[in-house]
Amino acid sequence: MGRIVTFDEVVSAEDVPVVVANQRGLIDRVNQAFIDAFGWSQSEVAEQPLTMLIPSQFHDAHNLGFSRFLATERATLLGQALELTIVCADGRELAAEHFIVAKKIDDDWCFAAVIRAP
Amino acid sequence: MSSDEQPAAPRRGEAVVLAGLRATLAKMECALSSLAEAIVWTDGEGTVQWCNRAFDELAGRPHIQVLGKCVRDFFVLRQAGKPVPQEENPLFGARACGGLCCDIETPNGIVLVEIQSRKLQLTAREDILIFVIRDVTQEQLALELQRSLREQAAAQERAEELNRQLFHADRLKAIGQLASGVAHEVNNPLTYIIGNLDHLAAVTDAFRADPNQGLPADLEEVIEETRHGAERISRIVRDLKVFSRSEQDQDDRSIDVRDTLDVALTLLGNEIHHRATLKRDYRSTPSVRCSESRLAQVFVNLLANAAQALSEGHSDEDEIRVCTRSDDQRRAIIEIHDTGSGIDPRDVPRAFEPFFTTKPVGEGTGLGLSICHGLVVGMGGTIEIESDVGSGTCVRVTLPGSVDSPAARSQTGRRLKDTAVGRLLVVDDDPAVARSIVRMLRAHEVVVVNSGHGALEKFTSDRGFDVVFCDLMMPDLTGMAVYERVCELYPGLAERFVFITGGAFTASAKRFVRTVPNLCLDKPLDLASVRDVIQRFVSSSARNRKQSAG
Repeated sequence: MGRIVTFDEVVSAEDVPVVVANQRGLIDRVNQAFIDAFGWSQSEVAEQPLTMLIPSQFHDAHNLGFSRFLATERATLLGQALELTIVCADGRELAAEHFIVAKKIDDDWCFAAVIRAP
Repeated sequence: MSSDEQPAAPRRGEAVVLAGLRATLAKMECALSSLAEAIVWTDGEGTVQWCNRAFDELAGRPHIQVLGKCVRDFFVLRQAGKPVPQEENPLFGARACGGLCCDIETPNGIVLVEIQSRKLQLTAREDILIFVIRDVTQEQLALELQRSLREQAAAQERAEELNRQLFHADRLKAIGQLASGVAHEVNNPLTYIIGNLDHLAAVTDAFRADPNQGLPADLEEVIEETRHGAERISRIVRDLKVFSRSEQDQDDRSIDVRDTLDVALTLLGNEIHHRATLKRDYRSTPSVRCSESRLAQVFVNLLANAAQALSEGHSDEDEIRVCTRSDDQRRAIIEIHDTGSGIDPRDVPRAFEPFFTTKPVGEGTGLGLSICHGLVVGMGGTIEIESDVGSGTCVRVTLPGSVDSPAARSQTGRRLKDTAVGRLLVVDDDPAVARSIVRMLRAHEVVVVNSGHGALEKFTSDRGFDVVFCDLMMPDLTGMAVYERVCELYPGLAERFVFITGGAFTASAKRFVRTVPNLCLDKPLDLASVRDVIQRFVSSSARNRKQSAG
């Protein structure tokens, strides 16, 4: 796999787990690698809030940080590898490296993340 | 989380509400992150759910590494170097209430903080703990600095008070040492005053017995000599008053250093007289601004040292020379030279050190020159010593000239003739003083009362006085109390009060003399001054009468 850096590279990646969300904080889609890695189905996650993938102790920080980004368009976490935790379909919480990117498409922000579990 | 707990996709109205909520959350996030105080909230177990930038900085970790961690993992709280016990530690949620001031160890070092904590129960199942951590290190340093400055100021004040006491003690010691010399200076004129008065009494008896025999030819000479003697005593007492003024009465004023030197020379006259010939070389000298009493103390100390450097009985060989002049910076230079044995050059640099003395044990405290140094420096001046072993010593005091005009020597002996007759009231509890004033002012109509109450009683029926000479210190009712009452009842008369005093020795009297607008004359009264005052008041009364008539 080549180095994935840009938004377009992330959304088109197939061999690493990817989740794509809109600026309302709802999941648009996940790729097959994501489904394989974390057990969620496309129908389970589509149009659901991102917080379903985030452990509850991070919900406040996510809500506030997400809101701040939309208001200020100043990113603090984008474009860097972050050691975070993801909630799997079976309820397990797995430490995973998150690489989150964003792009404005027709006045709306779109978000995509590569999530690699060890 | 199961899928049936997930909300449905928002409809359009809900999307608007969501956007509004997000905007509010964004403001909250930005506002809280901008604060200098570190803010963090955790769940009931202390797991960080959110914190602001200040908290990240305090923890020394990126934001993402703070979230989800236990707040207790970041800091150890210490008080007086010991860990804060768990039961008092606000980071243990169950006891999270109130505030605590403690040290925390951060990646940037130890920081003194104040931790405020609150426990909020949002729902029956959810508690959150909120911590606000304020770095009070700088605040504490500022407080400590402030406290240190206060302590320094207090120490300085104590040191200054000690200095004042030391200066005063030195002056009292000098007065004690001067007493025998001053007694001698007073006894000499007293001897011939009493002798002359006995002579005058005998002359009076003889004249009564035989008025035809006429008056002795030397009568005027005897009277003049007696007056001269009394004036000498008066001057000595006045000089002692200048010298013995307390530390509370050290007002700076413009002074002719030559007058102050004369004060010191009067007080030490006897001491010097038996040891040296005194020479004055007074040249034009600028006025200086300082306390006359302190300056007199300096000169008394220096002149006493000069006299003590000379042995008794060689006054025709030894000399004390007192010089004054000004330099090109308009400073007053005062030099006191003696022809004593001089000071060893090795001792000169230490001469102003406290307790340094070359005198035999028991003869000197070693504080005199040190006190002089302190006093002169306090006046903005300098003091230095030049000495040659075997030929003598010169102590030079340099004082900054005041902005006032060049010093003019005080004038005495001015005589004025009475040109207008006034009506005067004398209020004095000492009948002899009152009678002497009546005699002194016999050209005028003088009424006497011998008490403060007597004066007030007099004023109920008679206030037609050009001047009221009122003693300040009277046992029944002081001159100050009389004046106060007259100000209330007869303000026009109060302006005509002139106070006479043998010495304002109470704190209230000193304050009164400093603040009252009326004239205050010192006893013994100088006839010329008294007549001058009367003429001014009588002329003013005449003018007022004329204007009223016109």
